[in-house]
Amino acid sequence: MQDPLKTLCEDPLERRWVWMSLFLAVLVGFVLGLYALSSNIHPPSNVETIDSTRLHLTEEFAEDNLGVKQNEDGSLTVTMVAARYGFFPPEIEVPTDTPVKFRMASADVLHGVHAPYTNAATMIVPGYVSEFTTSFPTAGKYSFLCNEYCGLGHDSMWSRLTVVDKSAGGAK
Amino acid sequence: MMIRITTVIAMVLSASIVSAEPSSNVAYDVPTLKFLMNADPARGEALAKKEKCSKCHGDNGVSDDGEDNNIAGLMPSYAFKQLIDFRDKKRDDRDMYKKVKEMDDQQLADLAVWFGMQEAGNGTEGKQMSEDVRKLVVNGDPERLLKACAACHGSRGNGGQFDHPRINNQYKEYLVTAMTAFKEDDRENDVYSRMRYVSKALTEEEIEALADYYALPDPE
Repeated sequence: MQDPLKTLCEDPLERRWVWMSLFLAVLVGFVLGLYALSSNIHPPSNVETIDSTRLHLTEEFAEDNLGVKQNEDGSLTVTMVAARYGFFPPEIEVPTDTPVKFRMASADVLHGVHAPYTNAATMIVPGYVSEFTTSFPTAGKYSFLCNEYCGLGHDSMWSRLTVVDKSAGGAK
Repeated sequence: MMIRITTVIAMVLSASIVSAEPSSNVAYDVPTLKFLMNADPARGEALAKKEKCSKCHGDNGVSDDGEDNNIAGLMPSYAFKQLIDFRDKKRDDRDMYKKVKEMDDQQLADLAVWFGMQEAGNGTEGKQMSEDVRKLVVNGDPERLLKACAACHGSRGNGGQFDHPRINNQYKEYLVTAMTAFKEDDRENDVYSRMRYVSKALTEEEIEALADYYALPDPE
C-alpha cells in the first residue's frame, strides 16, 4: 500500500516523524478518553445555569453581593462577574494558603479568566456559572486576564488579584 | 493582629449588608431587545413634539446648550435604559423624572428609537490625539486598572454594544459633568459600576483632556 503522506512529504524520514506524531496524538487522546470515562470526568465540572442577561438582577450576582466572602470553615468564596470589558469587582484581595472558591458568570459573551503564575483559570460561558477552587501559596500581585476573545476591547479586559501573606491577615 | 481583627470585622459587616437595589432595572434580554426592534419612530417623533423634548435637546436631538445632553444618534438600547432609569429614579434628574414618570415602556421605546435615528455629530472628526490622550483612549493604564476608552466607546467615540454609548456627539461641558458625576458617585446607574471605576481612576485633568477630544464644538 502506498504511504498516503507521500504526496505531502518527499523525505521518508520526515514521513516517519509525521506518523509518530499522529500516533502519539491518537494515543494521548485515547488515554485521556479512557481516564475520563473510567473516572467519570466530564467537563464542565460545575453545570449550573443562569440567565446572563439579567445577571445584575439575580441574588448571587447582584452588584452588592460581589467580592470576597468568608465561609464558616475559614475558606473564602469570591463572586465575580465578567462583562465586556472587565471583571467586577476589578480588584480583589485574598490571603495565601487559603482555599478560595471562585464563582463567576458572564453578563454578555464568552469570556475566560487566567491569572498567570497561578493555576486559576476557567472559561466563563454565558448562561452558566463557572466555579473552581484553588489556593495561592505565594503572596504578590497577579493580573486577572480574559483569555477568550470577547470583542474589540478584549485586550483591555484585566483586573487585579492581590495575594497577601496569611499572617498579615486580610481579604477584601 | 490589628489588621486581622479589622479584616474580620470588615468581612462580617460586608456579609451582613442586605443586598441593595440594583443600579438599573433594565436587562438587555431577548424580550427587551425585541420590544425595542418593534418600537415605532413615528410615534416617538409625535411624542417628542408633544412633550417638547426640543426645549432641552433641540428639534432633532442636538441641543443648543452645552450643559444638555445631545441624544441624536444614541443607540436605542442605551437611550431606552436611561429613560427607564430616569423613571425608576435610578438616574437622578428632576426634570427628566417629571417628563417620563407618566410614560409607559412603549412610549419610552418609541422616543429612544426616534432619537436614535437622528443624525449624530462627530466631535472627533479631523482631530488628532495628543500622546497623553492617545494613551488613555487606546491603552488605558493597567497600573490604575484604568480601561482604555476605546474598549467600550471606540477610539472615535462612536459607541459599542447595547450599553456602551456614543460619546462623540456631546458637548465638552456635558461630558465633564457626566464623568465627574460618575467619579463622585452622583450618578450610579451604570451596571456593575463600570463607568464609576473608570471615572474614579481618572484625574480631573484627564477628564478635561478626554472631553476635549471627544466633544463637539460648543454651541453658538
